[in-house]
Amino acid sequence: MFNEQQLNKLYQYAYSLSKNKDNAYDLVYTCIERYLRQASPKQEEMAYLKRSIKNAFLDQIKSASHQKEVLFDDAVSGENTDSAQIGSAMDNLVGMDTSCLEDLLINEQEVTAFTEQLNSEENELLYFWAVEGYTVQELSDEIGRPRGTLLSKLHRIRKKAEQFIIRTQATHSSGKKVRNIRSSA
Amino acid sequence: MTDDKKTLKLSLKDHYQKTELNNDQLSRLQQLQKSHLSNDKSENTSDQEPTEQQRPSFRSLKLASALFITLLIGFVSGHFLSKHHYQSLQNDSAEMTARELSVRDIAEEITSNHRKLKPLEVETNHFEGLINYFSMLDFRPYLSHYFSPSGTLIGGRYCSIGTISAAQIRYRNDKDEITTLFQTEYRPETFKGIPDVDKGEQALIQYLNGYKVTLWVETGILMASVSSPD
Repeated sequence: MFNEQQLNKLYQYAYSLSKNKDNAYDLVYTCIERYLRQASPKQEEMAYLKRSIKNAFLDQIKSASHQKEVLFDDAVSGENTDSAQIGSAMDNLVGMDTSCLEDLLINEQEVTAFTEQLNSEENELLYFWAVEGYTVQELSDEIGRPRGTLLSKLHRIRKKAEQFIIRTQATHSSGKKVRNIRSSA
Repeated sequence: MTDDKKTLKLSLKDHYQKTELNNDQLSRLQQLQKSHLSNDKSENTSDQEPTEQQRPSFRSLKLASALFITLLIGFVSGHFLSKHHYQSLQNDSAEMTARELSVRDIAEEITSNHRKLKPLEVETNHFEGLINYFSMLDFRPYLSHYFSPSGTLIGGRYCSIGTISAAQIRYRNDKDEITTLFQTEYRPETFKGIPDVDKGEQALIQYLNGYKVTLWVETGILMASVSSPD
């Protein structure tokens, strides 16, 4: 039996992929139902369920013909090799890890908008990093991607986050200016 | 504005941890697990061979037979004495069955199936192709005269309504909107309150979670369609 905490964890993971609460619930329900039907339940049930949720999510996307959206971009653009090379180079030169994301400051409203802008794979990475506390090596083991590829992706997420924060701050400051002009008028 | 800023990691953690299942969703998932556990237990019980201690002795068989005969006499006499009461019990029992699969229950289940958009098992633009595919059903899917989908047929898959096997037939229109038609054998004792269009009755329309659900019986088949509201 999965307890409330485990069910919520699965739901949060499904939500990180689908960015939709109803869909996340359906994914969890479907996968637990499928899991229970099996004759011999697996040992590492949470890890198994997460993989099952991810596969169900990918099936769902394929069947809904939404492949146009870049969900797991390596699969579409074939950039895996490039990413791996860049990531590997960075790994060797800088010795960087997930700390490249540590110093970014953002509030809760902004983080919701930011995750909306990311694709499913990027959100999955952030989920494992922030909620599960995975290191790059653990991410690599979980997702089955080379460490260099993941470092490259994390670097790209950082860039996106920086751009997002700059844009948000610009919007806020322009909003303040308008308010000041109106109040002075 | 900067006061409530936290590190990206902390903000993300809070963001995901605040996303929780609501009480209804949680109780459904717990119920799903409980029902599976209880099924397992009943299967295990019926599979087990009785042990030496569990096997009834001849004496206990005699006692059980005597008790059974006494109860039978009591029941038969009770039956003749209170036929009216017995009939009312029957009616209660029928109502319980109806409650188990009310119109609302059916609508919720098929709406959920519609939303899941599980992969098609057969892809075809011809109804005849579907009929050939759904050969495992106890009925032959029927091209409804009542139902006029806004899109074209794209295929179908097996599913169930309650515990009864059903055909899930999918249509897609040019706006990429999906309409799902469900067909299953109509069992009046299970599906209560569904109008029969062959008797001149009007199909039942319900709106659930933003979807339009239409239910009717046609040529002995329970049909239900789910689509986005007009």
